[in-house]
Amino acid sequence: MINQGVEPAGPGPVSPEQAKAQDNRVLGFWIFLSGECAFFASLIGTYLSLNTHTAGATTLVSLIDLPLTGLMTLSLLTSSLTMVFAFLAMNRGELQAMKVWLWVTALLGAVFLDLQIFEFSHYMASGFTMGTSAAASAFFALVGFHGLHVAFGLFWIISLLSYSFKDGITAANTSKVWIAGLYWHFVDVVWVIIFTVVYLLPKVH
Amino acid sequence: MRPVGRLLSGLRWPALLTVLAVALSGCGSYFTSPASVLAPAGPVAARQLSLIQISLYIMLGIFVIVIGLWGWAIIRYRARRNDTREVSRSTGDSRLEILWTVVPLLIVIYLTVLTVQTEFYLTREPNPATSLQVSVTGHQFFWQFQYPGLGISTVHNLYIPVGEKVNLTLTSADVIHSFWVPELGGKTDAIPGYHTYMWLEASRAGSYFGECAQFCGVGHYLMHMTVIALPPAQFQAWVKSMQKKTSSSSAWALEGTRLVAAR
Amino acid sequence: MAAIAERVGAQPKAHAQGYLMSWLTTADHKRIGIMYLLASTLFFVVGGLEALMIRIQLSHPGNTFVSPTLYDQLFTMHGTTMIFLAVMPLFIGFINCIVPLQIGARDVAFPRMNALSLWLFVLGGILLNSSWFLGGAPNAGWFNYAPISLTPFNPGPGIDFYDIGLQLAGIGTLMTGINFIATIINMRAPGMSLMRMPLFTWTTFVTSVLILFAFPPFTVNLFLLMFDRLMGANFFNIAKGGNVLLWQHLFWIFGHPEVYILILPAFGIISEVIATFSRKTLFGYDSMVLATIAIGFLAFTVWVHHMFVDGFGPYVNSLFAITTMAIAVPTGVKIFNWIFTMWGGKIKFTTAMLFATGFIPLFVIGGISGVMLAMAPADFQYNDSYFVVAHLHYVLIGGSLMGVLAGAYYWFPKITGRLLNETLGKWHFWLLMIGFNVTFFPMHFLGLLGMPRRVATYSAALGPAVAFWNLVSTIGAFILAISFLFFFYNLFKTLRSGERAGPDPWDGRALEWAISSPAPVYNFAQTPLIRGRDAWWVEKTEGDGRLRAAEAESADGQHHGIHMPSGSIYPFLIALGLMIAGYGAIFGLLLLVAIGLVLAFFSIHRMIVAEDPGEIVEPVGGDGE
Repeated sequence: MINQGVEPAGPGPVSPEQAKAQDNRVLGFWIFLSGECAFFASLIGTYLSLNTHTAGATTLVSLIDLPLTGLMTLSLLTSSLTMVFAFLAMNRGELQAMKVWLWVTALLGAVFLDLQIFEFSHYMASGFTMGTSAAASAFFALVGFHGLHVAFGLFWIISLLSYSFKDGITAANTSKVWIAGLYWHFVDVVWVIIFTVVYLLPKVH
Repeated sequence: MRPVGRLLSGLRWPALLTVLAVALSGCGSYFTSPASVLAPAGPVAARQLSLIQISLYIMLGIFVIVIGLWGWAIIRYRARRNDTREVSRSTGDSRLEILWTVVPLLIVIYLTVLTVQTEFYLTREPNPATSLQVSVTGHQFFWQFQYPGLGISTVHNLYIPVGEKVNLTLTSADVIHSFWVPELGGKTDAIPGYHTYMWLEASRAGSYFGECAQFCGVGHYLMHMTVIALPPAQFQAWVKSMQKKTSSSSAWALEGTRLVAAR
Repeated sequence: MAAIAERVGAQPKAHAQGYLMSWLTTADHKRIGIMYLLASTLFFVVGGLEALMIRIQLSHPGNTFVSPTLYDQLFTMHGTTMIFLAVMPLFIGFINCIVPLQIGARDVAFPRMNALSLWLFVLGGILLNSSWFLGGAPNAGWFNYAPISLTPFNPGPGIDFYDIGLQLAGIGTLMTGINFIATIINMRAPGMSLMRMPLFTWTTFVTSVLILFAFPPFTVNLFLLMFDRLMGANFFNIAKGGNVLLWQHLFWIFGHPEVYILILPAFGIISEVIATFSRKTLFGYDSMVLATIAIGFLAFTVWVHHMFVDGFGPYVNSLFAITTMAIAVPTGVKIFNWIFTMWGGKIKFTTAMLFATGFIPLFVIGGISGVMLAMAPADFQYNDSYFVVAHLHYVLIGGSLMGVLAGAYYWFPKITGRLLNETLGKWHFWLLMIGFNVTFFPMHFLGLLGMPRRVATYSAALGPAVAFWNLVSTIGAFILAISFLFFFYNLFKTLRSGERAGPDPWDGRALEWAISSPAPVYNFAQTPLIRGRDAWWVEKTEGDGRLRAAEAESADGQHHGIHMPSGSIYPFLIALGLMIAGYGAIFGLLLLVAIGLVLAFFSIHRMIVAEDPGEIVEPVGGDGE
């Protein structure tokens, strides 16, 4: 299917049922991601319908710090690249290299989250909170849910790193890594949309 | 399966629908109420009732055909004792399938045309210069009516002149309500943060029962109103008397003002 | 449950744990299906009792049987329970029990996620219903419009129970949707091409796609409401720029597809039952499939017809009236195809078939009033009146529930190995038909006579006709309730001493009838080879009456055991953790939230890192012997 490039590198025969399970996991994850698209579409729709409803209070545009959010974008985009390196290592069957790249990815994700927490606390200190206006609520819901997705991705990658891989990289465990990576790329793509819609366009206009 | 049971299943539905048809023709005391959609007292409700009737008759026709086929199939093709019939091997019939796709489509198109015509008729706003303007505000749990051109405000009772279009602008002071006077016309919601519009006209003088149709809280079931349609001369007299009383007049109005202020 | 477990015997030998643990940890789709059916039947009884209290209250004008405060909770919980906790999970129960059998699979694509779906539904439902004892049930209607659901108008915790209970159950449903899309795409036996799938599998597939795209907007909506109520956000607070119609749009973008999630599986069941008992293949299979897909697609284009009285103007209303009426066409195609499936057949009126044939007139009435409601200007009169209540019960009881019951009588032997009593079943059917129509047909009149829905009582001033029809309706509701006593007694009696069903008691057509009743834990000893539509019928009439094995698995000529997924307690613990966190959020106890989340995430972590060794099960005997 989608992960054709991944050849079983480890030892051990695979039962037909186990092979099917690998296939299911990747297919099922793509299906899950289309549901996630509907989830973020609803949030983005909500944001676009409310982002001018500022109730005369502090607006987001007056607070946006493009260099900061640019740095966040850079760290997340780079983390997608390092996730690709992890995949490449996995395809070569190099367990240690894969683990290293996963650590780097997690680290970059943590940098993103750290900057986002800094950004949010800066906004809140400037009087822009969930309770400020409908526009502010919509901002925190959309960007916050994306942040939670990044946090869950971190949790997932670190869980994978604590997985034993006692037989090395095998046909049975490549799909575990594969879907975590797919998730990470998806969260990255959503950020590109959010960055454009929420930060870039209003600031440029 | 006894034959009686089969007879019942074949006959009960048409019988019940005949009752509905009788209901819609407006006879029989089991089908009257002071808030009946079936007894229109103005052009809006009349137009809506005619749409209801046309669609009901078409639907009854479809129902009779479908249930006729259904009844025939279950009676004619049930398994009998010593039944030596060969079961039909048909798996489909594209001519039939096209037929029962195209015919319903044509019926739907016809109903669509009626719907769109009526929709545009009902939402065409009357000329504000020549029609009475009333602002309706829903409150938990009463209706408030303001006549901006006349400087009058009432609660519970909406006075309108007979034979004139009345333009209503609706909003709500708290939660969503829905303005419904069945004999004069269908509903429009009163939504906080929005202004919605509808128009009504009473063709004959009288009192019309009105209510809130959108669940609005524990007093929803009590949220009634009365629309009082007066002949134009009497309506003018009522307007004069209300204006004389300035803004603090009847007990109702006082109570209403107090309640509004308390919110 | 003990009785059922004994009949089903669907327990892998390898399990040495206690009895309760074996149910809490199971990943077997058949046992999960049984738990879905049991739990949703219990919720159905609760929702039914609420309905009876509603009807007693409305039996005569000015009644004081319940207070308006309690009445508002009753109608809210009745609707919410029946839709989310009874009818939808009843279908999911049948889907779990039957779809893997119909496509010749050993289990679903994600057996342990399936368990997680179940436990989220069960615990979410319990959380929602516990509101009765913890400060009052939700009271803003099943569609819970803003702003009446917001704190200023609704300070008690009821709405929070609605919000978080449905959030948990909804996430479970979403995972069921994902699971069955993957299962149906990936787990079909060799030869089971898409256009050979039984109609029930097809409708399950389209239903799952609807779930996948409809539930996320609902999830978002519930989150927004939760933020407004618990965290001071302003999505629906107009004083701070919020918009109350946002809730309605997001709700109905979910809510209308939800209506089709509740009816499409019934269409599938009716198709199976009618074909089986007419002893004919389904008439117009291709157009049935196309109609199912068309209905699924159109389901996402009609949501504003729930909002015709919101004053969006003639262009918007006309557009949505047209898309809504368009749905009548594919639905009509289905009705005619069912009738012509019976045409020329040899119809055997078992109880299952009675429910399937009885479905047709009732659903046609619901469909007819549906088209009438779609005509926006007429809807201005019907909207939020008892006419709508009549319509929705004709499609939900006359449609969905008739489908559930047809499925219950049809598949009960496959699920438990025992045949339900036919005499009691016929009593159930006829009493239900009488009780249902006496209850709900008069509601059409009540709507036209000006009775709005959701009124705690009505004034005698509305006239004797309104009082009369309400009394008739209440009498009907009791007949309806009595019909279900026959059903429950039948279930009880059959599980104790019912007649044993062979593998194929109805001379069935689809694959589930090729294996023993109840199905063995591995379903099929050898993955079957599918050689046509009505796969089992083909083997019975054109083959030697046995399933052929697909060659792929036995190519090496070696005998090997069947690899089955192993169970796990973690799905239950994830759901339990989220439930605990939910209670914490409702009562503002941050410590409880933290404990719940730690439990949930610890369990998720264990599932991510778990090796899944599975279990090897040795098949006993051949298929269907």
